[in-house]
Amino acid sequence: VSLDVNDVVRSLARARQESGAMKTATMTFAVMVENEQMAGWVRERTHAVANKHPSRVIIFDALRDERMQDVESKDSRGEWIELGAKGASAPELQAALSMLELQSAPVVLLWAANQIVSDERFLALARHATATICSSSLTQTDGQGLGDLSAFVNAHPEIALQDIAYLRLASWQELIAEFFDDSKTFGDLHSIERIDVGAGSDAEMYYILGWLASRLEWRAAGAGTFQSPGGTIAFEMHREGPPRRLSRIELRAGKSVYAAAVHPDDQDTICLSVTGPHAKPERCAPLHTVDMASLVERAILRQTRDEVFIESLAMASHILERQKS
Amino acid sequence: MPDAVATVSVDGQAENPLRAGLHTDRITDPCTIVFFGASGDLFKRMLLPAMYSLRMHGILPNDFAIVGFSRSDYSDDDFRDYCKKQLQEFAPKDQSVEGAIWEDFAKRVSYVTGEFDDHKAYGNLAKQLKENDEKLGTKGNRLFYLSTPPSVFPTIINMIKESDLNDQEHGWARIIVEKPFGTDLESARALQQTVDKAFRENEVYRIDHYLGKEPVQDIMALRFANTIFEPVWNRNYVQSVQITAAEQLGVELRGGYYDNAGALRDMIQNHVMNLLALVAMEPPSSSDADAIRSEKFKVLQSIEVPTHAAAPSISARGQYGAGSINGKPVQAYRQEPDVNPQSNTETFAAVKLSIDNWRWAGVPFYLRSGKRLAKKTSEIAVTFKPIPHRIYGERTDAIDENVLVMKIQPEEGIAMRFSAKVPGMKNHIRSVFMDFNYGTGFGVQSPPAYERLIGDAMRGDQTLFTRWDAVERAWEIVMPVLEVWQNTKDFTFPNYPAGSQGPDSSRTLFPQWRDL
Repeated sequence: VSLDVNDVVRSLARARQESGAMKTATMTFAVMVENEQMAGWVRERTHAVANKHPSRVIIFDALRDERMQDVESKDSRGEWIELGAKGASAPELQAALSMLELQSAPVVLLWAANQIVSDERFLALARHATATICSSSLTQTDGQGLGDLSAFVNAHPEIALQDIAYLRLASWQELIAEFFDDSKTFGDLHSIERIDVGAGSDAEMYYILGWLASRLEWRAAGAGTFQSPGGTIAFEMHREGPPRRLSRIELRAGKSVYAAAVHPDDQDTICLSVTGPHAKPERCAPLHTVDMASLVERAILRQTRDEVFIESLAMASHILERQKS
Repeated sequence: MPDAVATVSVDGQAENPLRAGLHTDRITDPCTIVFFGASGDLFKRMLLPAMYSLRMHGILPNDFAIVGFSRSDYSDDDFRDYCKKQLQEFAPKDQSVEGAIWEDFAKRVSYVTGEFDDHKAYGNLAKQLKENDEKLGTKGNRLFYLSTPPSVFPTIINMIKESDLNDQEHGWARIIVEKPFGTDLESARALQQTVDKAFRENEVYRIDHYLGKEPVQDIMALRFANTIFEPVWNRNYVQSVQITAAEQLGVELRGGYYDNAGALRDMIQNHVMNLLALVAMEPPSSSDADAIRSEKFKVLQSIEVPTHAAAPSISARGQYGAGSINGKPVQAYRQEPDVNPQSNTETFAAVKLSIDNWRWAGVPFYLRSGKRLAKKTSEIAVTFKPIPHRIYGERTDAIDENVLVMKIQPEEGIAMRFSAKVPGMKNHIRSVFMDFNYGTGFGVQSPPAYERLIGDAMRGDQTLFTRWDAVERAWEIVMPVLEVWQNTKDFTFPNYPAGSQGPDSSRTLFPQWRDL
């Protein structure tokens, strides 16, 4: 059985003729689904993205038979194509995407299958895409895949890859950075001695540590330690809270403690505190842009390689290696 | 909001390395924003919800404070309760006014009671600002928002100066001045002289909420982020430009103000002139605020100021009489509350302007604005010249000119009229409209204008605020018409029924107005 999309092409033309509405589209949004538990969730999020950025959505559903095809024309806001892709090979998927993509519009790939870099279908589709988004914490909760992902990014500089597990940290990065915007606290950035980080899955913890270490030019020295020109920094990771969510981070520098933690009664709020010589009253900030639609949007708008992400990923991979050794 | 790369200099010495590559909308400078006129309608309906939305969207800095200042007698707690009540009514329904974020927001809100010329009240304000710096980390940065009647602008600015609240030794001080900036050229210059004594131009944010609307900003994106429009955006291809700001509403509760203002002052001199500048300006060298504002000023400079003698022939005015809006009867302007029953104030104004520069010489720009018209519509319509030689279409077919319409409200989008062949054996030609709507195109609501503009002022981005030279020039352009209208009573008033297309005299000025 081969993936034949000629019927889909005809359905698209017919739907367009029947609706008569002018179509607005910003991209072709290709989504690979392979996990039964995640399929509904991924579709829901894809719908949210396509609602904001009108798209021709192509769902490659590897759980369903190749003969299953469905085209829905959504008024002026693009189309939704469901394609059964069970057993479809990498070249077949690439050819189908080629046939169905909108001309002159970027192709964005959201990869929500069980494997990432070890799956040849991923490379085939990612090569065809302007931007590719994967989710390492969705598929590999122990963070082991970060090393492979880092190697993949280095081997394929032509692919603009983003990981939702990393994008999810944007609010945290912003709030951590803000601790040190003040000239009084800026010096503490270079005298951090200890970091405690808590999350419901590993990828987010490795990423936040990788980001800090790469920005501050630390190197992974051994299990639970970084080395900086100023000395050793100890870190500890705590599995806590819901999966795929960072729950807290605490940075200690001398007598100062900079802490950010999810509010106990409100998962969308972060409480910030600074104790020690530069103490501040506790503040609360909204933990915005955590929904996947917003995260995907960030990746879509970027569409180029994110060097800070790549350096953070490389460092996360080093930390992982040192932890294992 | 622009997705700016955040690179913050810490006291100008070293950059925070954690900021490299962070793409954030968050405003990084802590500050206190002082709202003068905090018990007023604008504050409760627009400004307070805008502040709360900025907070909920994670855009406000974490170290911020709000101080309300007005005559009403509130304690801090009373004012917080007042704010909560107003937010429950006017904030977007998906923004909860409960929980940790509200509690954090509320503890940053305080209030100072006083008359706008009361030295003691400004002393209390100074104490509050100092306390905010010490306890809430606002670092001496302050933004003053004048949301009061314009008559007290000079008093407040003078008192800010006399109380040294504009002192920039320990942070920055900025001021947002609501429109109207003056009631004529002379009063605008006098107000500017007062402003000059207290603030430098780069600290003054003259707000025109029209400029915060997404479709207005999209005028520049359409022109300068596409290549297909700019080559035809000139006298060789454009026949005329129509700018319309039409309202169905009457003067509502603003009769007292409006009867001293009129449509020319209230809309044409500011909103509509700003639209004209955006549509006619030369491409700026960058997106820098001054690059854009300089181009806007340059095009206003190129507008020929009409003489008093020419004013009647390039303008039309009207005042609405009784009529009906959406099938419901409405009263005449002269019967509105706080309006003089013999009022000579225009509720409709139309003006024809010429831009004397290389790009636009000979292209008329028609501007109109009015109240109680058939439809609420704000748009810019660029009509292109007819085809030079006809080869298609049956002899009876009308081949319309191409029209590009930038729709500002209530619809937000772009429409293009072009000719297409009707399917069939004959070569019939018909006009078709290609209609792009932001709402259905992108599936999201544009952020409210005040949210965008307050955020920009806190960032120090003046792009969407009007520079003094442009304000002054806009007054210079409208003054001859204004003076002629002030000095000659129009005995035909009321000359258009509510719910109509406006007075017949506007059709005499320009027969091709697009129907509302």
